[in-house]
Amino acid sequence: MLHVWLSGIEGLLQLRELTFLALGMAIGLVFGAIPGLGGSTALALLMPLTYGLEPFTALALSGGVMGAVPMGGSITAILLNAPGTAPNAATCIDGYPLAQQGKAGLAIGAAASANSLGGIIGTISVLAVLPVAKELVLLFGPPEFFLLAILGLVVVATTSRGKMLRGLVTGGFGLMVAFIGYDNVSGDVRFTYGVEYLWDGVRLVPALIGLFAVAEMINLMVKGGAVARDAGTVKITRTMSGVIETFRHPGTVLRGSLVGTVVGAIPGVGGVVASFLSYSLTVQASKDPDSFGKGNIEGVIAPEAAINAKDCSALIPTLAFGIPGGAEMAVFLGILVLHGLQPGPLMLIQNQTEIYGLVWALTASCILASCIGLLLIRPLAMVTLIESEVLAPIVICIALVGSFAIDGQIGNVVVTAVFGILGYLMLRFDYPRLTVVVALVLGGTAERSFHQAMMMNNGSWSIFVDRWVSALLLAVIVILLGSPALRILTRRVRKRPIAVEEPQT
Amino acid sequence: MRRVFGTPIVDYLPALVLWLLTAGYLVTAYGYSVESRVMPALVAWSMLALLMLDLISRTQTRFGRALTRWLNPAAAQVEAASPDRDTARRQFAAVLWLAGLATALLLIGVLYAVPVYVAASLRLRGRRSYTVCLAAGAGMALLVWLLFAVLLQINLYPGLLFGGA
Repeated sequence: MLHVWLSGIEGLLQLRELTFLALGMAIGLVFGAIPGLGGSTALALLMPLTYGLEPFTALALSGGVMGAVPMGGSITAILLNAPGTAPNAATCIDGYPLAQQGKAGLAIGAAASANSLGGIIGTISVLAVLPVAKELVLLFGPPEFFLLAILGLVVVATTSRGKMLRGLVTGGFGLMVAFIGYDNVSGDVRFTYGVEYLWDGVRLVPALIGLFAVAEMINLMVKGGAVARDAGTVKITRTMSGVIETFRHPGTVLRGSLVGTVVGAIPGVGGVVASFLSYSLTVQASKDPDSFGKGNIEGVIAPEAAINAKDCSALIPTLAFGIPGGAEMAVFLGILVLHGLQPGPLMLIQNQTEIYGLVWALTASCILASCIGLLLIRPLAMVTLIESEVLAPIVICIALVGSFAIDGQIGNVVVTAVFGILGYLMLRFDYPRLTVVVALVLGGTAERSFHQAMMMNNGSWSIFVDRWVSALLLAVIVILLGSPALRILTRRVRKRPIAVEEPQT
Repeated sequence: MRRVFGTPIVDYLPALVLWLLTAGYLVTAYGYSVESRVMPALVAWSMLALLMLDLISRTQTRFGRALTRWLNPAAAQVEAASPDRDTARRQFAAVLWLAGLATALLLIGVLYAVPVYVAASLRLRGRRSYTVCLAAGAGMALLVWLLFAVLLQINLYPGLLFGGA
């Protein structure tokens, strides 16, 4: 096994491969930082350009892009509350409040180091898991996918800082939106009201740009001033403190990385679930859960570690079964096929050097992109000092044009604007936005898996309790939904005064 | 302001509007085949129930307060107070600027809408000089053109008035 790992490293340490790795990293950082673009867009644009390259070089380029995108995305998530990529939305929750407090350097430092560590732990996990990947992926069937989608929603709702009911409401709203468009099961076109653009449903990325980037800019325009509330407090000198903070929370890094690794290995679930699940578990494990959402550094570390670990483990289903874990992996699958590499169990045997070369490229990119991110903190953090009158129109323009650029549909601009207003209203009326994102991502998977599960069992719901993995997931959902009641009951029992027998006189 | 069950009417509005939207969604769902409507209807019925709980939790009744304590404890501290006249005006203006840009992009396309929006916004909202506004508008248009049209090879939308579809 060792010689295969080494041959992967050896293949990567060639001048041409390193050059393309660096090029991929630079592209990944830029595409990650621009809301609306992201890894799948970058890979899709690069795909035809890799045609003339050797397969190994193309994989080095792809690995560079995929490893650097999360770092680019976290920079805008922290500084502008505009996640460059969908999974970075979880970083906004605590990263942006830190930027508002003038601690952008601290947050980006922590994000960069968590990114690196997550990537390394993810790689170690992949190296360990790749040989036994088949068993892990086969544990999950349609009923488990359906329940996993519901679990994702419930977890995010229950950790919406004391707003579980509103979290569930916005999650339900997100699901309703996710059902718009062509239904793969019945062939019907639903809830489009004659709008042709909606046949493909409401696109995730334009909606996400609206909910976060545009909504935040509307909020900034209403409040006035700059992102950092007090310009005098912006300390860009604390970058290393952020790195140190990450090492001071090894449990958070490890938890996030493991969540990312496990979720990444399950096809169709994706980075959003990984980052939000990691965040939610960190909130639940914390001794001070109320501090989350107000600028807790662990709220930055947890999702960032998960995102990069997920990127590594998402290779497992893609390479082993040809099942892409998400949009980015789907495009990457195209690159593999373009270069004559047929993903599937045979690839694990025939193309080991390429596979391990790719894993190392991804890891190197995670670490190097984080270092570049750290070097860029100082100029980037200055963005938080720009007045809203200047910043808002620029960000809104890039957000709307970026949403158009995804697939050249002008309808995306309307979706971004509508979701921007909706996101602002949610901010204004104190409804959590994160459950909408999770619902939009998982809605399609949930519905498809539900139908498949029902077909598997002739329409009987018992399939959700017959299989041990689904029964376990169902139990976790029930416990989470009952957790507020349990918490209050526990508190009452604790508060009840203990009856003390008075000494008889 | 008029109150219902001890809460200003405006505080019920978000849940009420969403309830009505969901009811409309449910009615539409029942127009589709059974297979198509299973999940949407399931979610919509759950939404109606959740929104009813949300509405009740907003009342200042005993049950409403208990619901808030159980399911929305943080919401109790941040009851949406109606904004003052100035804030309401700024909210309306911010939404109007966004709608204006989206409409301009649709009508006159990216390369005209972006500089016009940036220059107008800097002039009318930021009170910057004409020179700064024009330079910023042109700079932004150049940035968008270089990034999207040149680097990414994306055909920028020309606008409905200039041949866009």
